Amino acid sequence: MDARQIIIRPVISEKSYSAVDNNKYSFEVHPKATKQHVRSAVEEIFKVSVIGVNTLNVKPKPKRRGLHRGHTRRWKKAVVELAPGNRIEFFGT
Amino acid sequence: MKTTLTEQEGNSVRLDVEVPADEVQSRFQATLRQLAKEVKIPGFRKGKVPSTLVEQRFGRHAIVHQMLDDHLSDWYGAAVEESGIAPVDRPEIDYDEEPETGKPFAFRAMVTVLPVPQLGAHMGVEVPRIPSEVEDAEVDARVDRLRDEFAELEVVSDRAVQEGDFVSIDAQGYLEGEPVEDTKIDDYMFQVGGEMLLPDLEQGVVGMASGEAKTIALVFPEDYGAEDLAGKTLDFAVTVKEIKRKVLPALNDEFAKDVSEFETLLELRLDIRKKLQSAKEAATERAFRAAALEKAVATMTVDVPSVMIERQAADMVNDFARSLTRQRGDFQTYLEAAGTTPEQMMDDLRPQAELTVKTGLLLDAVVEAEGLELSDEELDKRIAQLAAVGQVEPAQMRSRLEESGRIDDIRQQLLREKAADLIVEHAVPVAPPEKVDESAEGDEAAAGESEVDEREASDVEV
Repeated sequence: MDARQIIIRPVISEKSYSAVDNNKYSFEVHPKATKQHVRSAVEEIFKVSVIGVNTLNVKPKPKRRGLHRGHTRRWKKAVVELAPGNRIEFFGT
Repeated sequence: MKTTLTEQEGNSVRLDVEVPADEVQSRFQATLRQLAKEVKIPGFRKGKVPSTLVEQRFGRHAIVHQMLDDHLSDWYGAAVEESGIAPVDRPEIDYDEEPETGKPFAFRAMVTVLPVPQLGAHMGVEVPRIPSEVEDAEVDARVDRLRDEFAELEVVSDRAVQEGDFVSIDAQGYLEGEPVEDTKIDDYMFQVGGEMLLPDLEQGVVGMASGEAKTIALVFPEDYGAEDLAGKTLDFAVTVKEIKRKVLPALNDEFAKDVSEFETLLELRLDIRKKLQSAKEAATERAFRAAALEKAVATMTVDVPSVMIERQAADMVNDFARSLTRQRGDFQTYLEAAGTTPEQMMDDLRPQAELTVKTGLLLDAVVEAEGLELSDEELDKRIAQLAAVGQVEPAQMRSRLEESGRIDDIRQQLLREKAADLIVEHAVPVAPPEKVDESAEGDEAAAGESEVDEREASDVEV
């Protein structure tokens, strides 16, 4: 799988930003991607060295708008810990 | 902050200002922080957005502009203070390069400043002084008016209606033989020649005897109030019910006792004379003062920036509108009734505004030149007066004025009054040009009042 297909977008939120202080960066990744896939993709795209990857599946949340029922998207999040001294510029820190 | 002052043509100056790099930097950061507090970005609670993200999102350019909006006027204000100029208008601010963090920011401001007048021979101007003697004829006129007010109506039956009589009539209007609604009047009394009714009707009854009936053809004017009658000719059947004439009271001590607290006619006349005299003197004094100031203004050379005059004229229009509102009037209604617009009013007021502005400049310059100073007692006295008007304690009034900064205006006004007093004291009264009789009516002469004594210029009770 191509690295660009594995890493879908950075997760920009209060929570993900506070994790940046611990050198951990969050991404939405391909639902079928493994930790190994994510590790090599991040290393390839951002030219950094990764020392740990945690992944989780974000479950769909039920949403209702009047009579219309639905739910949010199911997606996979990966929190990538970088080796000390490495940074990802995209997050602007 | 580095400020360079360059004087330009026509009372304008150019300020070149350089804001130091660290000031730019800290203001930029402050703006960013402020913005971060206000913006909402998905994924963050309000106010929790990291400022780096804000900068990334909005771009440096937008933030720099926000900073300029917020702080350029402060920087300009500081530069004005530093260079000690007195602007009278909004500045035109311009810059070549946008501010960059880590670099000083240079901008220039062009602004019109208070002109410095060239004082002339304002001391000892020659001013016509209208003599304030009261003529016997004026007293007579006043007495006659009193007589007229206390006149009684007496029924006459032995003669026909004459001009000036009070006549009671019944009337009904007919249009082509048909009675017209709302034209019927009963026992209506009017004075012939009093212009209460259509002139043709008033004149039509002249010569009629009491009890006589007559038909008078009346042409209603085109602009008559009731539209369905305007321009039409109506036949009015008029019956004269009663004729009265005015009988003036006899001119004697009895009359004086009736109309006044005085016992004799002589005392009444003396009192009238005294009142006329003081009113005339006050009017003369006001006119003299105004004329002296106006002449003194003419001795001064100054190039008044038009923006000052515009602003003064606008203030005058606003003051007028406000005073109308205070009297429960409506400015819009007034404009419609007078067939004018605020712009038109400003045009009309411009000469007066110019005089006011110039008088102010002259007086300020005189204060400066003569080294006039204001003692604490003088200021206290004025504050006490204001406090009495506003029905508050003087100390309270003082703190209120200090808070609003109005106290400086009062100080300036008192100083201006002193300067005006000085000019008036030194003014040389000369005989007025011919035509004394007409100008004796003092109230008009006070119309060109300067700002200083506008307050006292209200009509004098006689």
